[in-house]
Amino acid sequence: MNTIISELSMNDLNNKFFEIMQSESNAEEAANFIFDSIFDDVTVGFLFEFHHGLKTGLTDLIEGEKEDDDVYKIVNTPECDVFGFSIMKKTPDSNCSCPNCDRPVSATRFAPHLEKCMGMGRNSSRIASRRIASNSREPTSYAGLLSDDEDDADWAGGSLQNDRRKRRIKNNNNRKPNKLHNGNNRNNNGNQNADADGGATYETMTANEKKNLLLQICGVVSEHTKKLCTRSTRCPQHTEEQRRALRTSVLEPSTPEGAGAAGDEAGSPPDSSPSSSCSSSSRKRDRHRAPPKIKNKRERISPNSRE
Amino acid sequence: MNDSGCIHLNNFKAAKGTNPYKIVHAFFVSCTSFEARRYKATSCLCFACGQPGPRMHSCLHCIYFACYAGHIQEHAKTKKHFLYVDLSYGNVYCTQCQDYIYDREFNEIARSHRLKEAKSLGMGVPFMSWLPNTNEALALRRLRKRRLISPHTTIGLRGLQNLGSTCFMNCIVQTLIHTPLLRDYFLGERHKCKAQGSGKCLVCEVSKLFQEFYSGAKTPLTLHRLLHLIWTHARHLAGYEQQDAHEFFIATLDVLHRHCMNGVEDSERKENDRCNCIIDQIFTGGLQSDVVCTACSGVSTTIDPFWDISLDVAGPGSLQACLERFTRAEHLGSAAKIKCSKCRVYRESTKQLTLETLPIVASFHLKRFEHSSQIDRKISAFVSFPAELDMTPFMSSHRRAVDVGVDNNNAPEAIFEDNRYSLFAVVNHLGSLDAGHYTAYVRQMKGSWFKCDDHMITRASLREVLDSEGYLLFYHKTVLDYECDLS
Repeated sequence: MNTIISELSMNDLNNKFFEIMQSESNAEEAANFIFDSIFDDVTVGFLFEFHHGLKTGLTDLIEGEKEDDDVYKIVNTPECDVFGFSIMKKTPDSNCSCPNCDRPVSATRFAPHLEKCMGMGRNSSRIASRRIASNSREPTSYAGLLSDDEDDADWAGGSLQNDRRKRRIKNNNNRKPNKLHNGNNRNNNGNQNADADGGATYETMTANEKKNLLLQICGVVSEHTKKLCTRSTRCPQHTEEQRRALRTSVLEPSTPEGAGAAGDEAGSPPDSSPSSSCSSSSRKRDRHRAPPKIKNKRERISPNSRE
Repeated sequence: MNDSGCIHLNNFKAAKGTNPYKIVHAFFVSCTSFEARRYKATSCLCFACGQPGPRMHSCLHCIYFACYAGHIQEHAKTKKHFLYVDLSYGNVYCTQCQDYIYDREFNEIARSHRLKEAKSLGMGVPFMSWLPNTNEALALRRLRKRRLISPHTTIGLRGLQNLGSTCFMNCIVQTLIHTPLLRDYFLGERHKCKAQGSGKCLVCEVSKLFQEFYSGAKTPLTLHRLLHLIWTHARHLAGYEQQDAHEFFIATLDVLHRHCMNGVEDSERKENDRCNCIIDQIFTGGLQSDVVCTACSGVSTTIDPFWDISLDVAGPGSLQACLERFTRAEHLGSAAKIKCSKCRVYRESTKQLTLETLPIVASFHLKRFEHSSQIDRKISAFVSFPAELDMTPFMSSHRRAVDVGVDNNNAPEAIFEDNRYSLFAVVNHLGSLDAGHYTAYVRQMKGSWFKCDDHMITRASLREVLDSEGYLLFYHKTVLDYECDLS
């Protein structure tokens, strides 16, 4: 009994198959047979799956116990969102810790804070060129520079908050036109502020004034706003090294030079590169290779997302 | 989980090992080779009655095939061969236990044979249901509570705090969180990271976000760490004022794609080969560009990867019409002559873009913001888009067949291809060019849509979604092919 009875070759099988299929009734019978076999197979498959789940305990493991989800039920009233919060009420603001400077920042003002904190934004190229300029020409002049504090209303807490809020409103009024136009007048931004607010610069001070001032305040010049920091001499935003470097350069008697040159450089157009038309395929190719190129093109197609 | 067979099977394995099962399975259950298929076709008949069924079984102790209509039972009884194998699914019956029994070791053999069978037939990987390994089974037993995602609960939904004009980010995050395959990847904790806990990996951050969305908490989330990570790694984003949801989407994919490498050993990285990270698996397609010389008809073809397709909206009234125009051959004219590699001179040519490979998630960007030297404007033209989209007409293979006049329904490749997509997210821009706001519609599950307006999540209807203006449209492939991971 222990031998395979059927010893047909593939050729025999094929010949026999065609012979049988000559007859129409055979073909129909075969079709029915195949259908029944597949149907049986699929049915048995379901049964095996079910049997396997029960017998091995897998079904019970996977199903577990259904969590009571009454507390998560969607609220279906027109005046509430799905969580049951009123759509009229504003969400309470919360503080979050800035990952860049570790300070607590009001969540609703986090993005503008972060932009400044990271030294990004429209001004970044200008800031960068200034940094290069000021590095190459030592010592630097601080003409027309204002307190860095003006823009720091987004720091949460602090005793100066009310005062700062007022100033912030003023600042926003100054900045708004620049945002909307994307235009050339943005180059004057720093000067505009200087004119509007007046204020102390190292340039206009006598050596003694400088000395006295730097005993009281931090005095580090922000690279974004070009203003002096008016916080205490132990302000956490700037390092001891920055303060030391500033004092060295400001208090040493040396002739300030190159101030105008630095200003000129800063005033060069922010982005004057020609922008090509945005064909989809060429942009895709850029993607892995040259991010700055994307930027140039994207800048043109980006709508302003302000609310 | 009780899948260690039975005492009788274990005694059998102790005496004879797993080889008898391996042989029966490889030849008569899942035929792993042409030879095996020949053997099965010529010899799988009942040794007692000569019939091919019902339900053929093979004795595990000796070479004996018989049907389940009494003959295999008879053999087991007379020969005292207690174990026999079902030839459709490879399950083992024990006559002493009087039941089919399940053994983990046999099951693993069966799975590997099923893969080999599919491979030898040139087919895709067959579906195999998930089986927890020992640790997973332990975890399932220890943690009995199951959180179900239903259309009636807020599980999987979460509002996002506006951080000061960051609606562009909130919309893209809502879209990513509601991308079905990405959700499965992250909830399955598939991202293994060398930089874990450092707070420097965006993929880890997104992984945490998924946990937050499915935690059941209802208060809005603050995405300050995410924003910081993306800005840190995509410095070209010029600060938040200039942000556009589309630009942010592409930058986010790019950073995610780069950070996916954090979990990959250097030796595992494929050289020259396409990146295989989850972002590329889901979002990357291939765009084919055919430039045809009008003089010699020589074709120069290049294929570039793409993450999204930007479409002109002026003119056509529907997404399909936009895509039709996008993939139409375009005469480049005398002003844009291209050097033909055959003619070796600059010639006029035509250019045609088609989709060579489709991504699992097809992202469409409707170019609603027009900037030219004369005018900057937003195009609010209505562009209808469907809930279900068939991408076949825009495929390179289809276009080629149409061009040479072949009835594509009979082309062999068309039989197996299923290029249907369904809409799962829409990002809208409201307002003007200068002052605007982004909102997103997302599909939580089939037929269940929500509107995400920063911290506010409200129910939406499909009608409402389809009637919205549409700036970014996201479609997910309806039928997925399984890809083989033989490692």
